[in-house]
Amino acid sequence: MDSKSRIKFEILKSALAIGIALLIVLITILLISEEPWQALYAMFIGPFTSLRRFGNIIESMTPLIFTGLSVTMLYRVGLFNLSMEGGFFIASVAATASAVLLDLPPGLNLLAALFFGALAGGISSLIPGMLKVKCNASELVTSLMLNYVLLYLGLYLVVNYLRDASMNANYSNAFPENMLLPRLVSGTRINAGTLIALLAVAVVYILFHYTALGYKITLIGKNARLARMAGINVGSVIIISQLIGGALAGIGGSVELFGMYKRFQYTGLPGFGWDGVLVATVAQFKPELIPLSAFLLAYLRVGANIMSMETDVPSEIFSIIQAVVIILISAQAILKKYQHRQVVKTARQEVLNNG
Amino acid sequence: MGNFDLLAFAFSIIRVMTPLLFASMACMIFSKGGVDSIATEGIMLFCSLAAPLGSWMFGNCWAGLLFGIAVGILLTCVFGYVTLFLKTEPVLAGIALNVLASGATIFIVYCLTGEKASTQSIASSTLPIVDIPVLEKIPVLGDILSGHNILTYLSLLSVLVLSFFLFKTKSGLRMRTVGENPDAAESVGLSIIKYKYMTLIIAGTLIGMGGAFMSMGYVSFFSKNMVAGRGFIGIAAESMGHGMPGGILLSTLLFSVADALAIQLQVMGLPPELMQLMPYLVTIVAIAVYSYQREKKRLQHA
Repeated sequence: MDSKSRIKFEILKSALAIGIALLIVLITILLISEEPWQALYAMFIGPFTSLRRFGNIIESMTPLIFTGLSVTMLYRVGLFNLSMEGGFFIASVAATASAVLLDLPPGLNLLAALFFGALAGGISSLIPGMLKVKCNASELVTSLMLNYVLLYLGLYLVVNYLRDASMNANYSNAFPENMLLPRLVSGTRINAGTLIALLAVAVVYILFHYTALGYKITLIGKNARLARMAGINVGSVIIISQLIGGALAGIGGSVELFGMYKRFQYTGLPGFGWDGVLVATVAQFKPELIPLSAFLLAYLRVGANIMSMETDVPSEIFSIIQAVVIILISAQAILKKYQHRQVVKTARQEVLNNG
Repeated sequence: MGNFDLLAFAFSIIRVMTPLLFASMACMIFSKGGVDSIATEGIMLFCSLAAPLGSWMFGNCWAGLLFGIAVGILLTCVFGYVTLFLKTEPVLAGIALNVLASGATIFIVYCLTGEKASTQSIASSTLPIVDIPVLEKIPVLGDILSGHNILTYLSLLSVLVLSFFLFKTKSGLRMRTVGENPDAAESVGLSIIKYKYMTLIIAGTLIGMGGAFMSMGYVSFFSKNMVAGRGFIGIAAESMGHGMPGGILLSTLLFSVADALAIQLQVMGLPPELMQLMPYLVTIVAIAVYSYQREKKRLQHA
């Protein structure tokens, strides 16, 4: 199948997956709601009814771009390292520590916090990667366990070293005013973090398309044995890719913190890492499609929140969309017959043209 | 260590071990039958909601347990269908199911009770506590081993039954063959689908009992995200125990000791967060050490 009809096929499959997910949501709403039409209006039109709400989409899209990129980076080398969830969290703790404890001049303090966030995220993903390369330990298992270690470590640090004693909850001291990322559009919370996210998309795109490292990562992901025979140091490429993947989640955690909050206030893992799996799956693990897929996810989530505020349908209905879309888009057997017919058609055409 | 009660401590180890043991046994069956086990976490959460709902709907705790098991089997079969027939990447499908469980359970609880946090407002019963005759009279042993929830005994029994099934029966051998090498199994005329579904049904039953223990034994209601990583610990224990029932039991016990110790040390004033972190850290270190030794052996042989 040529690349044009392959793209057509992928788009058809994604549209089908999203369509089926929305159909299930539609049926669920019709079944449980006493005001189904208001609910549907709130969910699908609601996000576009005011500037503030549209701003909500852009704000929620930002961390999703980072974790989507992170998952893409971690996965394309062929590993199932799920530490982006804990990495995002521990990075925001590290960034908080840097912001609250270090007394640096304005500008430098933000850079330092982003650096420590990236470092914390990078180390988090590096651990399962290292254990995989050095001990052949399943990165899936170690990263799942590591997420809990990072959660409790982070909470320990916040409660014992960063907590604002005047607050009733386990919140950190407030960040210095000059660290908060500048807001770009008045009346919304859209901030410079979104620009940093788009910059990260460009960097990852360039890495995959124009650098030897990106090529090696993709090759190892497709065929590690071939890569090894071609003389690539598979172990070190895996380790670097995991470090970068974790760092992306880490920057995401710090950017979210300084873009949206005035102090650290998570009490559990925020779940952006798992969302990143959906974002990356919908984008077919292509960095250039991540912003689009993050936008789509953010739109549906903001819509679900508006619906739960205005009607009797809880926002958790969103998880149905998330699950159905991941499963159907990554299902290889769906539309196989259609794909097969296309292949046959193209081949026949070619024979006719040549003969 | 003034008021440290060793007997109560040993009792609590067995108590916290119950859901973990069900999860690890389910992961063992998944692994033997060649099905990915990452969805254990989410399916168990669904079951821990289904069991009290069943008990409330049918007004009977056993019906609740059966309903939990039925939901477990249904969902493992859905997962099996999606990964085996639709050929979805199992890890992605598992993550999808886990995310779905965490949202959909809250959704269902909200639709039924108007609250999002728990099913405390619904009248559901718990499964009975069993005092084992003779054993309960023996000092020390009786204090530790008797008086647990019936599911605790079923979880221990499942280790024996599954060991026998896997290694001493024809079906068990065939299931392992299908899991290890489906092509070879098919070439000698085994029905792959039959043994895959056998795997899914057994694992679903175990997960259902584990989920039911959470909300009808450990506590008497469902609360959101109450499984809290126990399904993942099952995967880790399976990996640590090298897929052997005895090894998996020991790994699960190790985790439970660390967990019970963490609870105990918190009571004695040590930082709770660091104590909660311990069992997971122990698991990572144990898997790393074990994998390192296995890899070294492999390289020596090569």
